[in-house]
Amino acid sequence: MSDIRAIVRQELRVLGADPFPIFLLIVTPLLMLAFLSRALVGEELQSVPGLTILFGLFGISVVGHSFFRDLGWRTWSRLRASVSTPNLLLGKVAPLGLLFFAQQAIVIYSSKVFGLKIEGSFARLSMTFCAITLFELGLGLLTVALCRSIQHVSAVSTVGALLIGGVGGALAPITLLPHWAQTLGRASPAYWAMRSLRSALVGEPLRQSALPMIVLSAIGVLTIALALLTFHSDGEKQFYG
Amino acid sequence: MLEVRSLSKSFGSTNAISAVSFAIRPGELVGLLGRNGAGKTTTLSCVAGYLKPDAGSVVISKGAKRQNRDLGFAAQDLALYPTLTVEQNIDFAGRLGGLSLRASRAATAEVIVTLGLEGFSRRRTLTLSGGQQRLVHVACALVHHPEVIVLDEPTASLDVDARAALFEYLRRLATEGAAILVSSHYVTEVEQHCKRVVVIDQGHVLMDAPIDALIAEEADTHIEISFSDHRRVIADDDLFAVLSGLTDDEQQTLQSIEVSRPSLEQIFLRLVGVRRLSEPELQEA
Repeated sequence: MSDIRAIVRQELRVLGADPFPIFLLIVTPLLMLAFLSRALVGEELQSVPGLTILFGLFGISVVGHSFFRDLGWRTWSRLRASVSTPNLLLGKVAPLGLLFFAQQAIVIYSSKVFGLKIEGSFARLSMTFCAITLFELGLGLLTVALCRSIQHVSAVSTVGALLIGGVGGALAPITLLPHWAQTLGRASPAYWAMRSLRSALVGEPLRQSALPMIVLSAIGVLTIALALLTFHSDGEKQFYG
Repeated sequence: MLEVRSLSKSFGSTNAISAVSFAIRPGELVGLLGRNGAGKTTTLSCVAGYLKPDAGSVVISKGAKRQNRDLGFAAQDLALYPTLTVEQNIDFAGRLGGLSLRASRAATAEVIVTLGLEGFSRRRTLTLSGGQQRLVHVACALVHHPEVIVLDEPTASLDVDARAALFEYLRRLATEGAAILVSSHYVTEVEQHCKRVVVIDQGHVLMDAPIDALIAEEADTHIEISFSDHRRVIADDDLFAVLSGLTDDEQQTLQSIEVSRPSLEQIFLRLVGVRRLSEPELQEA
């Protein structure tokens, strides 16, 4: 446990020393909402969750960077030799989990300024934030496990965010997409995240949004399991190249 | 103590090291020498757990399950968090080495003072010079007072003062019971500070011996007698006979008598097959 605490502390220090990427993930959706607020009057239940989820998906690159920068800084070998792989992964993703949770909370609650009405309680919304955080972390870890370099991470996270978010209804209402895309969208975690967030925002009882949260959590657990199976701490990865 | 038993490691078709074995006992400061590509860094990386050897084993301490606090390792390449301060880097290394939060803070403060890092301990490491970064990097290996210390070229890019201070600290740690292995390209430094040397070449251990005994065994000591107008170089056995046979003129013009002891560097170069001409040979040429 002391290993995990030490790594969590170090990760928070590093994030704190250069918070600009995190700042962008939180501020950019709010800026976009400010630009689009007039055009989207009455569509807040699409635009706010949509941008929150889309920029959460862009945050997968932050997960990737938190691992690959250790390769670039040559601190990875010492971490790997000093700490077991499960403790290392847990220590690294725990602060990122807090980050993803905070990103959603800040964007959602700040969007009251743009006319968003929040009927659900903070506790209710927090449960949804947690389920979304779980799948974002899972996708992030799987990206780290499968990618060989920071360029791969950047490319996969950018393209992946647009595809997963787009087909899931984060960019535009899913009802406006072609029929085949709507069918495909149901396989996207963004679709279930949108449903879950909307349900929490309008204050629907938990049992009515149980399915989206279960699906999101299952995707999170599955992707984390896949990441652990495919992650090799001494695998052939490099920072750049 | 550190025991390396028949370590072997290949990269593809290249055998980097083959059946490398040696032991470092508590209280010893041992130098590891070898040319570029000899296998020093591969050996040390296997010892540190950075690389998994193909064969062989590394035993640290009493052979019980290895703990982080047992080994302090500084790799050849610097491993620092550039956006964090010197204190934060060393403190994290202390935590990874098994120290509690409070103990790590105290140990960090101690090693900062010992290695002369106080002047820049609050600065981010990316703002430091190469030599300062190297000192911080080495401090990370020493902060948790490990029983076994392995340093890969710790004095690279350090100035003379810093090298002397570092070795003084390492000698102190050795007298306190640490087993220390230092790899270096500065052979004179190893000769000056270490009691024993392990020489690796082409992935094999060529020599593992106390330095004094090695020099005595390989002795090619000669004596240089300088006169005002010429020099004579003789074997050390002949000194008495030569001095007894000096002419009156030579006695008048005798300036100095110097005993030239072979250096570890000469022995090392001979061992690895690179031979520099000795003084007598240079004179003959």
